[in-house]
This record gives sequence, C-alpha cells and structure tokens, in this order.
Amino acid sequence: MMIIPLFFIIPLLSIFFIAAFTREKSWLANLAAVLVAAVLLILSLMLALFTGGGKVLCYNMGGFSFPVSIMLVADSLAVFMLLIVYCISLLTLIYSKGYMQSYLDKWKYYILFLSMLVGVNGVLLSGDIVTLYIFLEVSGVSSYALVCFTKKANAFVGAFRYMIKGVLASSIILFGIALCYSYLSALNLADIAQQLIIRHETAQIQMREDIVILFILGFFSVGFGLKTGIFPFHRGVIEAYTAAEAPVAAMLSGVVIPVIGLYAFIRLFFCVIGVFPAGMTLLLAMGILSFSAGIIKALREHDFRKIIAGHLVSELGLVVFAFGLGTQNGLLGAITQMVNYIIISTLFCYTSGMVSYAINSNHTGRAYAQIKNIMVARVAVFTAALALCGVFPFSGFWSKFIIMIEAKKVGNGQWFFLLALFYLLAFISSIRILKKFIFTGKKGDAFYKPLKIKIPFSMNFPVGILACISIGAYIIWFFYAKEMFFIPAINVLNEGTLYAQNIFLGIK
Amino acid sequence: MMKKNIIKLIMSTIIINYSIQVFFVLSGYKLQGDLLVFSADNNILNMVDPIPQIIVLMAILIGLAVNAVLVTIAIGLYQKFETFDITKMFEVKE
Repeated sequence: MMIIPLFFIIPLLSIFFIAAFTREKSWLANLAAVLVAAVLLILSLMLALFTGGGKVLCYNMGGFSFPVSIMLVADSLAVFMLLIVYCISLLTLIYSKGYMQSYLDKWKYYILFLSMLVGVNGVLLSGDIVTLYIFLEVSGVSSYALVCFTKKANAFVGAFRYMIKGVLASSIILFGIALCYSYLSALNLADIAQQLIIRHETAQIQMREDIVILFILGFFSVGFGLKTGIFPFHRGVIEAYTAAEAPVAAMLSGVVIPVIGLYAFIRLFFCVIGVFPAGMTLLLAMGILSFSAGIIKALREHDFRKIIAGHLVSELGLVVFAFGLGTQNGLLGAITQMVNYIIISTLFCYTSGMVSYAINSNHTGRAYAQIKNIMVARVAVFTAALALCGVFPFSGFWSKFIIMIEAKKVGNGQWFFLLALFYLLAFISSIRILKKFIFTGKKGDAFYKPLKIKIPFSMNFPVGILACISIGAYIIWFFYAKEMFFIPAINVLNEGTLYAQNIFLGIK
Repeated sequence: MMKKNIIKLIMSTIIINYSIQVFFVLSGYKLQGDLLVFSADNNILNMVDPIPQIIVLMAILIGLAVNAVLVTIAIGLYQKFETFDITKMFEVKE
C-alpha cells in the first residue's frame, strides 16, 4: 500500500526543506510543519477508510519477502493512534506559532518536532521489533533535545534525568529483543507470534510455564514502563514535563509517551506474546499503583505544573489499569481513557504555556494565578479539571464510568473499592485546582494584576478546540466515532495473537 | 548508575549498552562457524548468524547519536552550574 511510506517520506523531505530554506523565515518553517501535519492527518483518515472492517495493510520495504523484509503494517489500532497523534500535532504546531515567537532558531525546533513525528510514525507502523526499536530511539532522541531546547538550567536538568532513564529503558528493551531473537530466531512481530504458538503447541505448555518468554516480557515491562513513566519509574517523566516548554510538554504527554511507551508495550503484549492471567494482574497492579502515586503527588504539590504532572501519571496509570481488565468493555474504557488523558494533558500544558507567555517567563509558582486573568486559560483549566475527576458531560466521565463498571465485574469488588477511593482523591485534587487557580485570589498581590500582553489567536484557537471537544462535542463524537474508530481498534487487541494471521492475509 | 558525577553516569550507560550489544552478537555466534560470504555456492553447514551482527552495528550507530546528545546536555549542564555533581545541580535548581 503506497500511502504507508508517505508517513516517512513527507516529514523527512520537509525536514530537509526547513533546514535548507527557512533559516531566516520562521513563518515558513511553521507553515511547512503545519502543512505536513495536515497532510498526514488527511492520509491517516484515508488509511482509516482503507483499514475499515478489520483489514490490515502491509508494505514490504526493500523488495524482500516476509519474514526477512522490513515490514510496515497499518491496522485499525495503529491508524486510530495515528489520527490522534496528528490531531494533537496539528494543534500543537498551530499553538507553537504564537508561543515560540520570542525564541531564536525556530527552524531547529520544527526540525526536531518533525523528526519526533517520524519516530512516532515508525513506532506505530513498524511490523518488526528492530524497526520499532530504531524509531523508538529516533523519537526519543528528538524529544530529549526538545526538552532542553530553551537551554535554561532547569530544562537541562530535566532533559538529563529524562534521557538517562530513556537510555536505560532502550538498553533493557534491546536486551529483551536479543533474548527474543536467541529464543525464537524471529524479529518480525507476526513471525514471533506464529513461532510462539507453534512452540507452545509442540511442547504442550502454557504461556505462564514458558520461563524465557516471562523473562522477555519482564524486560519489556521494565523498559516500556520506564519510557511510559509508570510507577515506580515516574520521576524522570515528571521532571521532563515540568522542565519542558508548553508545546513540548504537550507533545511529550499527549503523543510521545502514550505511543513509544504504552502503545508499543500493549502491541507486544496483546498481539505478539498474547495475554495471560498473571500478565493482566501485573498490568492491573502497575496501573492502580501509578494512579494512586500520581494523585498523591498531585495532592502534595502546590505548583501548577507539578500538580498537572502528577495527574498525568495518574491518568496514564488508569489507562494501564483498564488494559489490565482485558474484557471488551475494559479495552473500550482503556482506549476512551487514553483519548481523555491526551485531551486533558494537552489542555493543561497549553494553559501553562499561556501563563508562561503572558509573564514572559517559564518560572512557576504563584504566577500561575494569572490563569484566572486569561479568559481562554480559565475555561480550559475549568474544563480539564472537571474532565479529570469525571464529571458529566465532560470527556472524563465516559471513560471513568466504563472502567468503574468493568472493574466491579472483573475484580469481585476489590478493584472497584480501590478505584472509588482514588476517584474521590482525584475529585478532591480537581476541586483544589479550581479553588487554587480559578476561584480565589488576593487582590493586593502583584501576580493578580490584569495582564497587558494579549495572547495570540494561534494559541487561543487550539485550546478552544480541545475545550469544545472535552465539553460537548465529545458526547456526539463518542457515539459516532465509537463504531468507526474505537471498536475496530479494540478488535485488534481482542483478537490477540490472531494478529499474525491478519498480517499473512494482508501480505497476500 | 549510583554515581553523582554526570560524566560517570554517561559512562555507565555506555558500558551497559555495549555489554548488551556484545551479548546480542554472541547470541548468533557458533564455535568454528563460518560466514556466508566466504562460500561461493552459499552452502555452509555451520554458519554464524549475521542478523545479530547487523542489528548490533545499527545499535552502535544509534548509541553514537544518543551519546552525542547526552554529552551535549552534560556540557550544557556544566556551563550552567559549573559542576558535574548532579546533586549540587538539584540544590541550585530548587
């Protein structure tokens, strides 16, 4: 399918274009990047039409045949993620136009941004584990450089800590790949899945009895857990969120971490290795621990960005928990919660960026009280905080409701009780955010003076769009998009290791 | 990885990476094995697996890029804080 390589060719060509022609014209660099994101969003929609009904599209690079070739695969789950990635990327690039006004060498920012997108595309579309690893590193290196793009002291510290954990995670993943290759002599994801099925049928053993595979899964869990920032590996990611500029933090939390951490692990666990009860319990435990650790972190902090970083860890933990439920509705809850998490995280990051832009500093602290002086930021924080605690009709309600109901069915009440407790803590934290940053203020304080700087339209527009999606459009979108995008994506996970057979059909 | 000096931290990540790469290469090694390229008719019974070697070459290149970015960040940190001690950097930052 000739559309698939365009996801690499277009951004790479635009990188060369930006480097060659737009060094003095930052508006042209922004325009080129926005156009690339828009074109790739349209191509993602086209891919969604082609992959409707559970079809899988495959593209063999280099003219070799399966399983030797480097294969790119687009199925419903990958296309669903591509759509989300390009919606957020497009909005972030529009936002960047206003936000990055005062920075020098903006063309470098757009080059790093687009190379990060190339890496994310690669992770989503790769059909073999080594290609996945390469693109994981491509997007990782770009994101490390983007975190310290401003060359401020805290940005360097945040980038260094994030990078050390990222490099360690990559090494652990590479070790998992080495073990996997030694054991199965296969690198193609479909081939690995097939080899595992044959091996287990021949030896008459279950997945839980295969020690080597459990070891490999353990290495992948730790590696991708470090990349995702799941408890107990969440500190580096929180540092990166806090240190990065707002558009970079939005991309990190909304695109890079869900894709290179969570998506890659879920793809390997559900579609290649295959689910088994102990693995699902591990996901449930990691999810609930992250959820609780994130909320406790958010409740302990006073700084806006640190509170938000805590909540981002907790929301991602809830996604992992919902994946661990493993049922049809659990997976629907997980995918819906992932979309909700991406909306909330992006909204919060955009809002913090508006304040940084208004006070012309990335310095945190009491300055975030300025949120109440910026109309759009106030609406955004209000919306995101209510979506965070799952108030109807905000976006968080649906995902949290589905997960709660499913947790009651699956876990004999124990998971339900824990979730209810942490939902209550999330509600308290949301009310705290509203009280602290919207509804209160000391009149004599210098930070509460009305702003003189006008926030540009290019920054207000993406925030408004996301707030609208979170408030009202989400209900309509959910009911219409459910059959078209959500259910096919869930079916890919539900089919599990039938992924291999779907790939063989796609090759034919 | 327990060191406070950021250069030693970088060195330790490089050592971890190299050790995994050596492990990967050895996973395809065979005693008294031969390479496919040394046979005119592609008929070698005891062949060394070339795929891990190719992957490790690629991993070395990726590692090079990653290490370059790490060292760049380390230089940036030194310029800002005038120390390589990461604990002192946190003290100054906070």
